[in-house]
Amino acid sequence: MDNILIQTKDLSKYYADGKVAALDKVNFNIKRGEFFAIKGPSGSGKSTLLHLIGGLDKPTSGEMYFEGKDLNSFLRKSGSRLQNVGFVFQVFYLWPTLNVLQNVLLPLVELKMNAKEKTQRADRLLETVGLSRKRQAAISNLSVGERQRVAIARSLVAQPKLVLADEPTGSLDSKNAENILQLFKKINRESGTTIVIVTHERMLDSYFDRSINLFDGRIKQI
Amino acid sequence: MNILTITFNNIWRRKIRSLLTILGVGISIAAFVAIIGLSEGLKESFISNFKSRGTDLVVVEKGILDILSSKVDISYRDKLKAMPEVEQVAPILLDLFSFKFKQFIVLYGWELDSYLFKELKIRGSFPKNDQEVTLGALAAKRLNKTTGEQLNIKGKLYTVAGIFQSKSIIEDGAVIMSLESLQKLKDAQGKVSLYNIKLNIPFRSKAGYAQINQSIEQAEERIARALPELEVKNIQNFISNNTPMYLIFNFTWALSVVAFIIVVLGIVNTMAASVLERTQEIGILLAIGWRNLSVVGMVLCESMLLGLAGGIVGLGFGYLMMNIFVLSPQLAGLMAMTYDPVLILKVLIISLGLGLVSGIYPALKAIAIEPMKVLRYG
Repeated sequence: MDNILIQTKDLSKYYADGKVAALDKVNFNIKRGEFFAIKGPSGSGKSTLLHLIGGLDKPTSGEMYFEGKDLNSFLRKSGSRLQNVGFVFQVFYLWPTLNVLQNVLLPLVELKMNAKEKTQRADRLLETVGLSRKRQAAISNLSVGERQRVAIARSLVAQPKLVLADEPTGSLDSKNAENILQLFKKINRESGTTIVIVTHERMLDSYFDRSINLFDGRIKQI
Repeated sequence: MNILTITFNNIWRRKIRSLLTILGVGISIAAFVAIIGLSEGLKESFISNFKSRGTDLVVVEKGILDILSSKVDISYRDKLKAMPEVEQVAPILLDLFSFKFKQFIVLYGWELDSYLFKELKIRGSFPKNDQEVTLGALAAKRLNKTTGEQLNIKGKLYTVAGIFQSKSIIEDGAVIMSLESLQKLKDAQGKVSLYNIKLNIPFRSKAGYAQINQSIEQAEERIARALPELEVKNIQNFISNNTPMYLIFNFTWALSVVAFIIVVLGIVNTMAASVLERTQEIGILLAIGWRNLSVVGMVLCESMLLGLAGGIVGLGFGYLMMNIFVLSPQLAGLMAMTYDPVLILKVLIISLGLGLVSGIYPALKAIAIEPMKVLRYG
């Protein structure tokens, strides 16, 4: 049980006054250090589930736990989400007028560390994602794959226990998508960070330790 | 990188809008600087006018609205002179005369042996009789007259006996004639506008500011008790409570409030638009773990920087406007251009404060953004 990072019990999320079930009594867990996939077709509730376990949204019913503590109240504590959960989005959401390094540093504005330490940490991550030589580059001068690498570095810079990636390869071509998945895998293996990736691409099964398949808000198989 | 870096980045990437906001704030602040600066400058000019003569107290008619309407009998001169605390008494009659459309010059009627003359540097001579006048350097320039020339004042010709320089700009822009001469011209025989009183304060040069003030206050009370039918005031009170000055101060503060409202609305508008435009960015900041407090800090920092930048621009414009006003023929001779560090500091603090107040509503709007909506709908 100590090895469980995230656990859900009958987790449900309804929209339109309960008429539309985005998630219906979902039960699953994610272990510490796992490379985990949430799969399913469009509209199956994958992103809703990701936002719930990231503490960005509240369930209609059911329970969620982060290291055994009530997830919502734990992650809503000041500064808790930053240090426990990192996000990577399909469309990156990078700050267009900040350079690569500054984008990676963005979450660290919240942390009390000296500037040198922050920069060293961001530089190490830029090296990990292969963008050391472009640390001062403008976001507009990066390729799509490079932008996603910046977003990955940003999600890791506060050293969270869990990284949630919402269709991180959705905007990329197959070569870049594979590179990004390999990068996630490498980070997972080297740092032990738990990584949860939402994807609708079935071909990527071999990368993950475990996965769940969602269909119409329910888990089809685990 | 910190919140300030991000704030500068936000301002810089919306250059035109930021510039327009700063200009808008700057113009309102400039109006504040100019009107407050002018009214304070005017007050300082009047105060320095009395202080340059070494005047401690002023005696005027009781209940007058303005100094020009004050009429006090000349017989009080001897009563005042007889008081032990009084060192010198100078009766003064005041008037104005217009020499061009909407341009006027202050006229002083002084006794020919008045101690007031001692403070002035003269080229030529002071008036020796009722047909002579002496011009301040600025008045000579404005009237384009020099020693020996004739000057027409209200239809009567006077000879310019000399040109003097005074530390007070009001005096420098004035014409001095004998008291009797102005009494005749103004049809105010036996009357004066006010008495300037120099007190007999022992060891004045060695006494401290507080000690001198105490002596002045005590003398003021004694003279007021002895002459209850007149108004006795120290210089600061006399200027501040003088009705036209009082009205000017109130009017300028009322205008300042309007200017401040314009500043607040300008910044609120810019910041609210900026927050609305950046809904996605702010939503993402909240999603990646920024606390509400940091988002509030970012928005307030931006609005305060806009306010401060506007304040700096406003100071520049304001002093430029003041310079233009002070040099205008209508205000020439009334006040000198001064750069008051207290006013500059006040303006910078007020600008920052207005920026802070203006940022509150946009900051609250910013933290009301739901990251979920941003992620779901973009």
